[in-house]
Amino acid sequence: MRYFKEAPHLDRTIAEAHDRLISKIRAGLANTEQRTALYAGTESGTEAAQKALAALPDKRALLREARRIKYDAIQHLDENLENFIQSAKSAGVHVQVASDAATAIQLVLSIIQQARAKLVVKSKSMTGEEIDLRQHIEEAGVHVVETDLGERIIQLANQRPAHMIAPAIHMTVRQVTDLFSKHLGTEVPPDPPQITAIARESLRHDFLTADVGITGANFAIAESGAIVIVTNEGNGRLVTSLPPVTIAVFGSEKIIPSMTDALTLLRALVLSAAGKKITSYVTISRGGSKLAKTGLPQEQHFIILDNGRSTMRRDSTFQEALYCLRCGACNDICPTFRVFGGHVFGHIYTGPIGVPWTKFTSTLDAAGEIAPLCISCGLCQQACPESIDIPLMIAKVKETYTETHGQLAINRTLCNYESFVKLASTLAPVSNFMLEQPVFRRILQRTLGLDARRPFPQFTRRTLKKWFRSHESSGSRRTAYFVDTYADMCEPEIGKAVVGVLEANDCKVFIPNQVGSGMPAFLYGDLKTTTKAAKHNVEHLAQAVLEGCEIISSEPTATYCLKDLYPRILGSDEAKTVAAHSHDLFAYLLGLHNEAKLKMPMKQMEPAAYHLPCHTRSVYDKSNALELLKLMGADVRPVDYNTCCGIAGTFGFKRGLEGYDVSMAVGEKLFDRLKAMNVGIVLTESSVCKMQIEHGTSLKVIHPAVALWSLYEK
Amino acid sequence: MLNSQVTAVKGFFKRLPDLQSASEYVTEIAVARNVKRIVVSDDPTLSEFSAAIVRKGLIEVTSPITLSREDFFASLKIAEIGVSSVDLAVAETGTLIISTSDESNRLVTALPEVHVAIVPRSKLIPSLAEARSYLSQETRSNRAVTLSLISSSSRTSDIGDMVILGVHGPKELHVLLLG
Repeated sequence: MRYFKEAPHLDRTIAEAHDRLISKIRAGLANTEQRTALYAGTESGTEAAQKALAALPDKRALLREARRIKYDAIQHLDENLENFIQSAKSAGVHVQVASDAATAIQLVLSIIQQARAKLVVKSKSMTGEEIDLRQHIEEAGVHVVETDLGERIIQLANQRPAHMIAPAIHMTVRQVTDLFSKHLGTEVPPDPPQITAIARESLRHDFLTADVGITGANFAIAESGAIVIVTNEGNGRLVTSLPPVTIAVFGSEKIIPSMTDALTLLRALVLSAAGKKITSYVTISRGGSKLAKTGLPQEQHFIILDNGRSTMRRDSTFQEALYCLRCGACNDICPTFRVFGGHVFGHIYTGPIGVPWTKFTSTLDAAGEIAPLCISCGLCQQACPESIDIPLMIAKVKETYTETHGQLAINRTLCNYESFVKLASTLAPVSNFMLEQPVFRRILQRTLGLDARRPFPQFTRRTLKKWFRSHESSGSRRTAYFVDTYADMCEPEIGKAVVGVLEANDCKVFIPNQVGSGMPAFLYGDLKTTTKAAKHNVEHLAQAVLEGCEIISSEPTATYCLKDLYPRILGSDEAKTVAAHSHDLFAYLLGLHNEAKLKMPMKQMEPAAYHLPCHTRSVYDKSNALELLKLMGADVRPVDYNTCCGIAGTFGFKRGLEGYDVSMAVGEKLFDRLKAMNVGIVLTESSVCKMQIEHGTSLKVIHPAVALWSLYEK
Repeated sequence: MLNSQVTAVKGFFKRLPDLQSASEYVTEIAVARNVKRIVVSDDPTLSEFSAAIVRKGLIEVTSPITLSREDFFASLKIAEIGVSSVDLAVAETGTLIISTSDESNRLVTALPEVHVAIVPRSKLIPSLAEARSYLSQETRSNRAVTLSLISSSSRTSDIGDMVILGVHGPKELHVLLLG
């Protein structure tokens, strides 16, 4: 009965937060105009970044160096801060440190009052958003004009940025036209170039008459006390050159040691943000230059904001959130962000990285409320130029939040998903029959919260592990197969194909002691369960490695856990050893091929489409299966799609707006594009991607291991 | 490389033998656009260039050297073309690096609708990496300084994900490589 009751400690906070999120999800899904704009903008962002980075000969070296710089900068923050302040002061800059938002606001207001300012022009800054800077200055009776076009649109619409670097990404041309027409009291044509020209005209006057200019900073350089501002529109140049007083408000994490570091990070930032080598303008400024109008030196102020950053820095898990360059790549690639944007998936800071930043600069409750939109696909970390472990941070936010306020019953149920699969397998084929009955499905929907529209996989009592017990394996290479629950209890044919292909290539296979990966629990923030599974598996697999085995997995999530997640969670040498010896089947086979030791099959397969699962992308940044099948001459075409299919493990099984509806909205583009490819079969390694694609397209989906095994002569 | 980088972002690139031919180029685009006023940054190497345009008598050419501060500022606000020299030009990224300590000079490259940058061959470097020590030294000198790295005309894609040139700064960037 425990699954049928809400947790007794579920408090009002989480219940209300859940309701708020669900109503935002409902509104977001219904807003088709916004969804079209968002998807186009985010997909093109990801595409540009991926393409540019892939073409870079020194990609790995660049990203490794970018991470090293931020790591060192945060380790030595106190020292860098001191140097920065001293250098900037020696150039005549007024530098102050603000411990929190209120202090920063006070400092800005007093500078504005001292300057007797009537008009303030601002360039876009997330740090400004963090402390509601514009709103506070306006409340003090001073007129503020945002000058970045996107931010200006947001100001006129009285909203918050919907994306880290493209604040108005969610708005259509029509909406922007209406906004400007209303603001200017005249009919504006629905044409972006003309709207831009009109905005230029009206903002030009503001630049020329402003008393104070406010900016953020992308980097602050300790060796010289200079700040770096990266823009495309050129508004940052006018904000900093025309007003007699300028103020830069930025977080302490922006301080880095040297100009050399700044140039490296600049490259990583612009590549990840826009797939470009550099932006239109990079302004490096130190000290107040002579003003054009008067010849007097400009008054320059730096306000360095802490506001939770020191606490973040002391937290071993969250510290690396401070490496964030604000490129927005995690916003662009995130499957749920693409549907909802930052007004739903965001508090002030948007998208995946917004969750940890919200926890420290706002509150845990604000972060916990949006955290369920993370479906643990892992793509944000993969897209991040700093490789920030955003997935683990979000899981920790979920954990702390549910420990404080309680866990939803459906999530608690799904954390124990493995015991359900075992039960269904034991009861098969009766369970299969039951799970297909509409009445039973409706009951499951009402009681457990599992959506009746989502088909369950077929379960079998003839599991792979049972079959393997009477199977004799031989070969000169030793391999240990980490079997996933699906290949064991739903589709043992996958497991048999894996074993078959390995044995055909002179590998002796054995199945070591193991439990389910623990990933379903991770999705809902039950890190204790995940850690327990990780410890068990690492302990036994490490033993296998000691005995000379390489570990093979055929499910992307399993590979992701072994190679990526377990070492991050456990941090032990044992976990790292297991990671180093673990391989996705196709990566292992490619390795054999590179040593000219792979037996090539003789038969050819029929043309197929291919979908790359997120967890494979996260670990390898490519598909080994696709590469190998192509080497074998197969006609396999990857679908033009660069994010998650939407099902995300158990997420897509949850009722309505809690899971199913969102998962199907995420997958929409994938379904359309696969159907348009006109092929009979789709290949993908992931069992859940398979369920999602079959459900969304009615196409036949098979595991590439099964496809490959069918090509070998038996 | 500089050529392809500049034109890739819809900039204009021209190789010219000397300042005289640069002044002809600028006069030509000025006449074609019916331009009345050109501002030139305060750089002794450009005086020959300015003089050549002035001699033609078609267009008013002002620079911080020729006018009082107030008058030059007034002229900056209405000039249609700004002409500047550069301190370095980066071939790999098509970036012009301009160091200023007087905002009059920076605004020559920021306020007018057209920015023409005159780049002597000697200022050309292969990549940004070669600019590191220059940038680092400039920011550690004992005067106030602004380094502008300009790689395209002013651009936005904030409305409907459509690229539009000339938001707040120049709509056109012309790079004239001399020699």
